[in-house]
Amino acid sequence: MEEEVLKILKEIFVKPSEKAFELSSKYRVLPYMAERYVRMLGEEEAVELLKSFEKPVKPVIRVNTLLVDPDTLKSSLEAKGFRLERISWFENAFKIQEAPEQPSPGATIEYLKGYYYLHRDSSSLLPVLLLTHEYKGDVLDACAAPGGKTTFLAERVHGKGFVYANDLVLRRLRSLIGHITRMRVENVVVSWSDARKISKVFNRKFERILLDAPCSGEGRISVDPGRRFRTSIYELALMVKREIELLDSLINLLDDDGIIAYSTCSIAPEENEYVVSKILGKRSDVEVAPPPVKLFNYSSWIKKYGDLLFHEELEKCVRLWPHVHGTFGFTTCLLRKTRR
Amino acid sequence: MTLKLKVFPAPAKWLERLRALARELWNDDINDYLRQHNYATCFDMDCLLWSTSRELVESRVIYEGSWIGIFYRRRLLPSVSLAEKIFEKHGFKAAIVVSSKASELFLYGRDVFESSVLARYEPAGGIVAVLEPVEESVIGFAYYDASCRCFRNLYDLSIFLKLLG
Repeated sequence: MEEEVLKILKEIFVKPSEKAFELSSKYRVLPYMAERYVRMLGEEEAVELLKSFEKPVKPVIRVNTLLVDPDTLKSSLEAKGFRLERISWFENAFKIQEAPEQPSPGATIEYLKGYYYLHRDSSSLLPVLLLTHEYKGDVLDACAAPGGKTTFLAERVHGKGFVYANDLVLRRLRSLIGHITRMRVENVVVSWSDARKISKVFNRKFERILLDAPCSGEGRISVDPGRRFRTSIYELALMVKREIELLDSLINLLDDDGIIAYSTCSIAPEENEYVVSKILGKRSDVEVAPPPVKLFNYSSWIKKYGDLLFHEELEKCVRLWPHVHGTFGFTTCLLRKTRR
Repeated sequence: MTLKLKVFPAPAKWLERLRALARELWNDDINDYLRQHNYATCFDMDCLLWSTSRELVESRVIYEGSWIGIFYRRRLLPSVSLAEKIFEKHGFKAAIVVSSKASELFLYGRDVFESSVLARYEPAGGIVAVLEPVEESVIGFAYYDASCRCFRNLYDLSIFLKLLG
């Protein structure tokens, strides 16, 4: 076992209690996950969280305002039998409350014409809105496929900037290209590379970077039950190592005062608080930036987990909990590069 | 199965074919819509043609700029975006407006019978852009086949689901 992974594993390992085994059996998650939820939230709230995994999350339509007005799209989809509810904190997106049997939301003529992107949930809109608040310029989307955030970023900086959309997985990049052509987005540059080596592709720095890191997906259990048992603690340690490497290498690509949004669809503190704490401990040229706008009541990142005490600055980072926000579990932390 | 990717400068004969098609169908010069550099991105046998204002220097860049054409089932055709830009500038030519039901079926890969054509913009005896009836936006391309008195589907917007995942 690689020394670095072993070190991470030692630090993040928790021994599940009897209660954790009981909860893991009742709610069908791995014991270390149940133990973690109890430690983070207390027993009562941990049960609420585990129960929320059973509740389906409603998909969200984000309107491509470069092609259509939101109200016009809403009317035409409602005429087909959809019932849509506008997201309270973002006027150009609608939650699908009801859908007809046919057509499915991903096969309407409006979808094929590129009038909207279909997100599994509203949480993925958040890092884009925070990262581009009062900003119009180039953005690097380091792990971009399948393209929901890329097409949204491209719309946000339209006319002023380009989105450099990178991914490592070719099949997913094909989907990304499908979405940008479908949605007629022309300010995107697509690259195929390991994000840790992207400095070899683009010889430049960026004012804004989005790192939606490949993660365990532990926040998406409600739509992907396989995630209840998929990630062993050892596999989690491997992911954590990669997440630290990704974040560290991408910070090197930031301009002075540039901002990187680190986000995951995981509620695991190992993949969030632990990763960013390691970066803050390792580097002296980066600080946590508070969200530039309060779209709704965010939860903060946690301060302590097991024997791990996290950096105080992390309370400026944002967590969405399924049982609190009614979304996927999702996190975003903004980091600003400072002048050394 | 492994997906094969190729990215290369668009061959001159492909661009000439697109130019010829645009002249023949719309009496227009596509140079007005192209930028300085044109490339093709192929996944296995199917390719997208795209146009950008800068020369590609990064070997890992696989797509950027505007979609101008498609090489699909061994046939080169203009992109839906290119047709829409041309129609916006010059109005409709070589296009048919089809009924809502026929639009729906066309988007499932089906052909369009003459009886479902609501309006024709000549010349409409060969390759045509297919327009849906509500906004008259382009949903794909077809060609007229006299033997079935129908317009055969060449490609349609559902290509984004089929070809591009």
